[in-house]
Amino acid sequence: MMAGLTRQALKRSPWAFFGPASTQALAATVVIASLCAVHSLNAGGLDPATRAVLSDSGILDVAALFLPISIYLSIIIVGLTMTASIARQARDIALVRAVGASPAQVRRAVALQAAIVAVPATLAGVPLGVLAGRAWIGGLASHGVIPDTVAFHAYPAALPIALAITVGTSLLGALIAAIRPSRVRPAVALAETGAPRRRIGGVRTVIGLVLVAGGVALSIWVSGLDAEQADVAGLGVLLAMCVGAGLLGPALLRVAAPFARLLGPSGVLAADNLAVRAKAYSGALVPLTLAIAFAAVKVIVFSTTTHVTGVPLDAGDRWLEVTGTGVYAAFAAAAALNSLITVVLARRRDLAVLRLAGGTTARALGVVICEALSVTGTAILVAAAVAATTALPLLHTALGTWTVYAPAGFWVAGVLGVAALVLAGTVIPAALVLRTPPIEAVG
Amino acid sequence: MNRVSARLPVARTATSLNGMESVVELEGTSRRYRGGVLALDNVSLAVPAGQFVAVMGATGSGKSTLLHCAAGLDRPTTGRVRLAGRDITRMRESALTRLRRDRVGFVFQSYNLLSELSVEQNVALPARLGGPRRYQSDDVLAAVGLGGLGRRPVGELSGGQLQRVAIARALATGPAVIFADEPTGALDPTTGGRILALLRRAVDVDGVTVVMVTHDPAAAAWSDRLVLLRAGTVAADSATPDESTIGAELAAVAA
Repeated sequence: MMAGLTRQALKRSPWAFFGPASTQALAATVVIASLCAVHSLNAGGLDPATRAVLSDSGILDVAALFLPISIYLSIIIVGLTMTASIARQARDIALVRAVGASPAQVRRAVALQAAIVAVPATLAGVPLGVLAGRAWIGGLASHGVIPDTVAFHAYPAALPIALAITVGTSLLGALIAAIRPSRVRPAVALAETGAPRRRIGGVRTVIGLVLVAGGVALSIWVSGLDAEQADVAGLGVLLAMCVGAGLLGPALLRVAAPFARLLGPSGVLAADNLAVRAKAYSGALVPLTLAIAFAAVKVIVFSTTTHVTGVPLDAGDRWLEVTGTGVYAAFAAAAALNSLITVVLARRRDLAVLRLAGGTTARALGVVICEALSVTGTAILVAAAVAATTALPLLHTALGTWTVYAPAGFWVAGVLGVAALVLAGTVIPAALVLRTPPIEAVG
Repeated sequence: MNRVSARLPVARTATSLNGMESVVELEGTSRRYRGGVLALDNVSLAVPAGQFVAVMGATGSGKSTLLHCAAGLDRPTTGRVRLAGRDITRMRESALTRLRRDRVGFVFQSYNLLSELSVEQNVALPARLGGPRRYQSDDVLAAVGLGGLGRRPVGELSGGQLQRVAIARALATGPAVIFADEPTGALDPTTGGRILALLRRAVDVDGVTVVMVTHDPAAAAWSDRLVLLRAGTVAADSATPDESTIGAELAAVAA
């Protein structure tokens, strides 16, 4: 019975586990890289002179801060993606419950799935993590942040720690997702999977609006402070705006949906879909917005500072900022991809119905592309608003200017990168789904 | 129940075909599945415009395969299929999809509606996909007894109402033929009867051709012509007798 549910889940949609597996591999890579890097910086064999340079440079503090953040992000993203992939099986769980599986049996089956996916994914991340750690230490040395006497040392305990984090979090996320479908009466669970909740909570919208309004007010207040205080408060603006935008995600997508109609006949269908699936797509909108806003604030502040003062940023600092932002962006991209793949896979049947009603494969794909472009556009606009609210007062207090300077290449690369990511997360799974003849897909 | 019996404006599609010409035509059609199972074995069948055909047979007799091949949802291994005046045997998938969109309506046992969208959005789907919009959604919805429910999400409707939405969607384009696969399979006899009455009226009033697969003699009794399948071949093909005779004939071919 247990192996049956596990096998059904893994076989029916192997793509559904691509998401959790990719985040687990990414988490393992980042955790192993950070652990090895910290280990190398604190290695016993270093001479006292090197050690003194290291503690003076502040790099030990940076590394010590980076490690818990990467572990924390890993736990969040792995837990969320695993939860989402188990939540998709609510109907299968209700079915096996209806034919006599106990809640404990369901939990064991779900835990088995999580482990089967997480262990190989984590192991795949090991060599990547070692390479990334080596590259980071090498980069620090070549940019003059640390002396080149510091050598890379792989940290043997990194593997068990990474396994504990990814497998543990996967199990926890899977079990949490299975609580409700394994406990409620099967009839209730079956009925719920038939009619998903799609309303956007009023409280959620109100809190979101309050946070965004608070962020804007804080931003105006910050612009009157001196530069040092403003830097600290600026983080508050970014957080308030990002969390607020996250809460408003479904509402924002619903507002944006009608604009999809401008994209032609496929856009009209996409607009209808986007409006009713705003909540699901919001799962992709939020991490995209966070990553773009975060990166944009960094680039705007550094580029404008360099432009106004004429003094380029220290190469070492720049290296640290780029790698740090890169890691956050990778996590955000993984989260966004996961949400998108989940949304598209959940639409397998809908896309088949669309084709039975007379939509060609190209048209069905066109609808998905229009939805992807709408999500991309919304994410970029919201992120631009968040970044502007955060960065403008910082520029004003530090440099006395309201004029943003950022290289055009950054904007072009940003827009293209986000569009490529969103299209990859939607069009590839959609194209795979569309290979099944529609009459089989609805059956 | 006082159903709104709004009449649809007279359809032009079905009548534009020559009355003698077949809307659906299978010639020596066979379909062998990958595992080697011969689901359809050299079947020839011609359905003239404006006829209501019921296809019956035991489970595994090839009913659904016949419907899928005739409707262009599946391709025969050998033989020829004509649909709405076009040879679809080797038609390209996108052209075939457009032909289905413009000339064919579908009603399935499992409804196959977009559960997240509203009734009206589902009915308008073929038109949104570029198909013809012969009738306004409000008119077809009124005709199937769902007047005023256009804005409801289909997730909130009962089985009988869902099947009416599916029929409204099939009728909205003014199709030449509607293929119905066990349309009453999930409904109680009374609700099922109302669905069959709608299909019957589409034939009588709008001149639509209906090809319906069913295992229920009561459903088949609404048709003009009864085709019985056994092991992928046509075992009997006649004018539809009364319900009890259908039951006896079905039992005979299923034995």
